Amino acid sequence: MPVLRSKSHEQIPDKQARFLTGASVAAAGLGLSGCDAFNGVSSSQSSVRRVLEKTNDLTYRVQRLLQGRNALAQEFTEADIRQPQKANGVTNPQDEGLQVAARQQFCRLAAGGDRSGRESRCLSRWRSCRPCPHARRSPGTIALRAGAASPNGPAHRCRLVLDQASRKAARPATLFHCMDTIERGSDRQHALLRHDRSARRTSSRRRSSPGA
Amino acid sequence: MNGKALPVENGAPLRVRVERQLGYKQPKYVNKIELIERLLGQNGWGKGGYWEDRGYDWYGGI
Repeated sequence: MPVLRSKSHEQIPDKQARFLTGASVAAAGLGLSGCDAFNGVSSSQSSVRRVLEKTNDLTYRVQRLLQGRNALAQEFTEADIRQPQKANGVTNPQDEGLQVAARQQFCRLAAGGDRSGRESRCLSRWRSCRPCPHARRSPGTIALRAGAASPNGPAHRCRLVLDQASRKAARPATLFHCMDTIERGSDRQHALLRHDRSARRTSSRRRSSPGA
Repeated sequence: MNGKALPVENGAPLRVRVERQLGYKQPKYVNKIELIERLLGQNGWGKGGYWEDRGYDWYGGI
């Protein structure tokens, strides 16, 4: 026996669909306007941001108080570390400068405290004690020799060079120049172009941190 | 690293190691270190670093 369905009964799904579509669009619009409304919070001058930073600081101090200074940054022996250690972040950068440097075994690094180059130090032959054919020798050059894990190894000597340079130059902050590029989108390329025009010197990425 | 030369995937030739800060404060592939007068306002990249310009906390400590 055929089932008779009224016209109004057939229209209900359409109404529901229109209602749901409208509600979805309205919710999306509300969501987007909500994003705009919170843009001001990201400003460093925002009072909300200052409150959140204070709570962050309080959490940090309570953690230190309860767990001690060494609980969150423990030192482990080599035996406790799984080998090989998994690398994070960018692991295979395709930047040409980095690829060329890797082929030359990273012969030349520089630590400087003066844009004129007077305080620059060439940390040549970072990874080997053999003479580096690619290093440019100049007065004041400090050659680092092998011993990656020893107390007098490259990292230790780099610290000495930085200490010496920072004392002499009296610069409170350190700028690290990095050879890799994280973002390769069109926006990033435009940003790099703008940056290169203003900076005179090209660098794929720059990061800074508190003084060394 | 661990007695051997630092591999490229771990940030060769040099990676900054700061035990009490998060990973994004320990940049990889460093080829030059410059001592500067001001942390902010470097050529318009002014919140203290690459990730800081994208909203990450400046200090990033643990």
